[in-house]
Amino acid sequence: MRLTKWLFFVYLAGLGLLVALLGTSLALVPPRDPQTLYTAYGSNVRTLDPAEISDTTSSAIAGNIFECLYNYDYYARPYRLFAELAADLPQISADTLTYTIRLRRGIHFHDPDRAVFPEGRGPELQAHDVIYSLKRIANFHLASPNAAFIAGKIKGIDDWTRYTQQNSPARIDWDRPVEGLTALDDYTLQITLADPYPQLVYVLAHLPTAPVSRAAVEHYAERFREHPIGTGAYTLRYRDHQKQQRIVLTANPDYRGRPDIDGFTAVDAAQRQPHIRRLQIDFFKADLPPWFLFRQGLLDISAIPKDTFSQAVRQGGELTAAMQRQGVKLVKAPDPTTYYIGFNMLDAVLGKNKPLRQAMSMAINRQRFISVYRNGRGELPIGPIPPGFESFDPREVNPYARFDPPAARDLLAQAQQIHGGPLPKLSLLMSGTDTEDRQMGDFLRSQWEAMGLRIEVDYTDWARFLDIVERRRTAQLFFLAWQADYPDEQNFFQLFYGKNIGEGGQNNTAWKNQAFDRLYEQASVLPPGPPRTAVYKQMSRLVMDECPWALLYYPSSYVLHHGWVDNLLLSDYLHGARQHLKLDSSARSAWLSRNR
Amino acid sequence: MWSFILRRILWTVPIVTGVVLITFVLFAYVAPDPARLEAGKHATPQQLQKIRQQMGLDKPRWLNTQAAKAVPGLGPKLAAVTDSQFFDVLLWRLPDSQHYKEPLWSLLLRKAPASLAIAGPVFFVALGIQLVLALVAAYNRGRWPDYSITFMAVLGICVPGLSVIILAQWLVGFELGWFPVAGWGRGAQIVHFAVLPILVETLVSLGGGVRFYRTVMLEEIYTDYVRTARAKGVADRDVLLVHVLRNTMIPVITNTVASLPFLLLGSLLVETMFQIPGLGNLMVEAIGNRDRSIIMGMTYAIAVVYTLMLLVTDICYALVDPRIRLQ
Repeated sequence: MRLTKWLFFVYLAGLGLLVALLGTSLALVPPRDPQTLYTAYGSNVRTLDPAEISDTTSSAIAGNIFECLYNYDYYARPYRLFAELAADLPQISADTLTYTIRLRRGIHFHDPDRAVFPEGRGPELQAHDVIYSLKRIANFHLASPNAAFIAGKIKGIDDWTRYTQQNSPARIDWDRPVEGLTALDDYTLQITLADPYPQLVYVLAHLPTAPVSRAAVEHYAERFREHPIGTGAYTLRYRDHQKQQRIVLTANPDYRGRPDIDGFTAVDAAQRQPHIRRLQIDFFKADLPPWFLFRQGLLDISAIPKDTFSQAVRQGGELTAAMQRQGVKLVKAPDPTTYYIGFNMLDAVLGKNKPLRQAMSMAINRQRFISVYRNGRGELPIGPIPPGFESFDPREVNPYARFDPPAARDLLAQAQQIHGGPLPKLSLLMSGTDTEDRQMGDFLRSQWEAMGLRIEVDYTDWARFLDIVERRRTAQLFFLAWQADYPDEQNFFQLFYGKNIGEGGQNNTAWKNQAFDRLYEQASVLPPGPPRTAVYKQMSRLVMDECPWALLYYPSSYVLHHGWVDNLLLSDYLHGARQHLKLDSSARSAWLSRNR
Repeated sequence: MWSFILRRILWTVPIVTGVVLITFVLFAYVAPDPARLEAGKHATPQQLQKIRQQMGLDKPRWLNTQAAKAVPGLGPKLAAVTDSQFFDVLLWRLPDSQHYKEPLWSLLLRKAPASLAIAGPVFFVALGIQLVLALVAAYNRGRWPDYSITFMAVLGICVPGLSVIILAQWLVGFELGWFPVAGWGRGAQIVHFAVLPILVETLVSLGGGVRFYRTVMLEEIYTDYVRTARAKGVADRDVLLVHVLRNTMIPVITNTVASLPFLLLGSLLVETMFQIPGLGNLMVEAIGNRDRSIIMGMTYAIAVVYTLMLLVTDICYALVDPRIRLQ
């Protein structure tokens, strides 16, 4: 009887606890702070050390804390660089190998926890900070995923990497000179390249190259990734970082008020950036909860989950009446991304059979694919380069990127002649195993089977996919996408360059074309401008004709925000975008009291 | 009894080693190179080399015989020969999480309280409700309370947990606004976020338990001693609570103790959908990110805790049933 009684009391206690929780829960509703913007991301932050960042969430958050020598104009499309920490665009020598960069003055690091810099305001940013940060990326022990951006490019940087490899982290002499990195004075930096590399300016606008404070890195060592100390519009106190859960960024009191001015330039108080004092970012793995929270007005900005797309957007891409009534706004922008089916050119069937590749490309009903699997969020492709690049020409015609079954069947007949008989069963590898991957795989199979091909589809996870496509190269056809790192077509064309075939190279299809390689090398030493754009267009046409990719679509981003958020533009490369946002908190309060 | 406990603890060594071995073989021979995945799309050879070093993948898989040859003495030789990928896992020398760049212990300690905050109340409340409903159903076998409870239990088993979660988030969180749809907080705020997942998890876990305990109790109710007790005029309440309940404790303990490790390890689905920063959520993310350290470490931890809990189950048997002797 004692045991039974004990169990009974435990149960009563549990029930009591639950009731108490229920009561407390209803009484504890966290208020909305009028000076905070509430947003959510679908994946967690991995690191806040710029040199280590290679994922979009970490980059989006750290981009508010750190700045680079250059950045992209928030409003300009196509993207235009402006000098952020640099005083102006670099002076480039006649041989295009030496870049001289002057820095803005009066820009200070800020330490919100006051552990490294007791006053909060740290030392002024100087040329040696930039050099230190670049050397850090090339440090063997950091294993930065961004090392390839400068490896082999800056004179002496590979020697530096070897030197760090030969020494333990504690024994590295950070004052050891690197031939291509020189501080001419405290505010002037000179970078000397091994070979012409016009993309260097984009690399210097890429968040991983953001200058960091050597004192802060040495103070925190590996924990610097949790204690970001930068010069940007926002800061992060350690206690405001609930890992894998929430981050609250606070406006940097030492920030100069605009990204394109010196630190001591006066800015009118009404114009000072950031306009919003705090940014609260929650991390949600599932799609639906943040969507519900947005609809409740508890998140200010939201992506649109695929399964609830029709609640928000009508056919034609406009907001539904319900959303419009709630004052929700829709922002759309093309992504600098191309989705494609890669043909393995090392494959005995596909590699030597151009008509087969062209036929398979023409057999895909892309409009239907975009409509069914992307809710219409995409554009029909033309070439490998998506919209937003100088060489993109919407008037260009690529017959092999059009859905044309009769023409595809004619090409298939040619392909069979080249092959010398019926074509064997081909296999397509998808980079995921979920329902959507399977549906897309089935769709593509049905398109090719309709013209008489036999296709099998394999599904695998991302890690194995990379292994098969990049290292083993045993996949015949593979579903993949490329998102540009910077707004230069070279970032796409490197995927077709013959010297990038091989393990670790970017050329996954192993397509090799001498004419293309010559043009690639020619373009690689040309500065941005019409001559280079003309070369890029020729390269694009070669890729379109040879069909190492069956182009699928150019995706577009759709983001919703409530009416109380203003000045939201979607941007793919630039960092620190949140400082441009404006928040009408009284409108939010009114909306919340009306709708609760 | 003490020798029994010691023997059972020693038995955990081959069991855990077997679990670690299987997991390790899967990672070592079936899974693709984790360093390549970690290195990203712009990997340099140096970066790959360093990442392999950081992950301990530059060591031999099983035995480091070369290193052992280079050192004199048995002790140093043993240390050198076990400086391998497999022994790194077996001896819990796991590297930091590749994805979060954080030591495994730090992650486990930080995440476990959130899992416990949900799974603890669920465990106690669900167990009580399951036992009470099972008793009522068994006692009223073939009558409407039995049919209703069985119907609800089967319904609970059949409806996928994910559907219940989404329905609760939509109805109670979004439409009615009684609880937050998802999220987590600090300090007292946790209560605000914890209630809905606790309620949902309790509801989801009821069906299976009620069905199981009802079956167990039915077997007891129709035994001779219960019939005798009733014939002697013992009150129904006493028959159920004293005789039947106590004698069904063995399967109850087996089922209950077996579920104890999951108090800490959390619920994968509930934690993911409610964005609870617990171990279940961590495991889901680790699988998605192919985070070798976390998957290995969690598997190891589950194996150890589970085998220890089985030992606790055996000890509880002896406490509950005097006929059982631990030998």
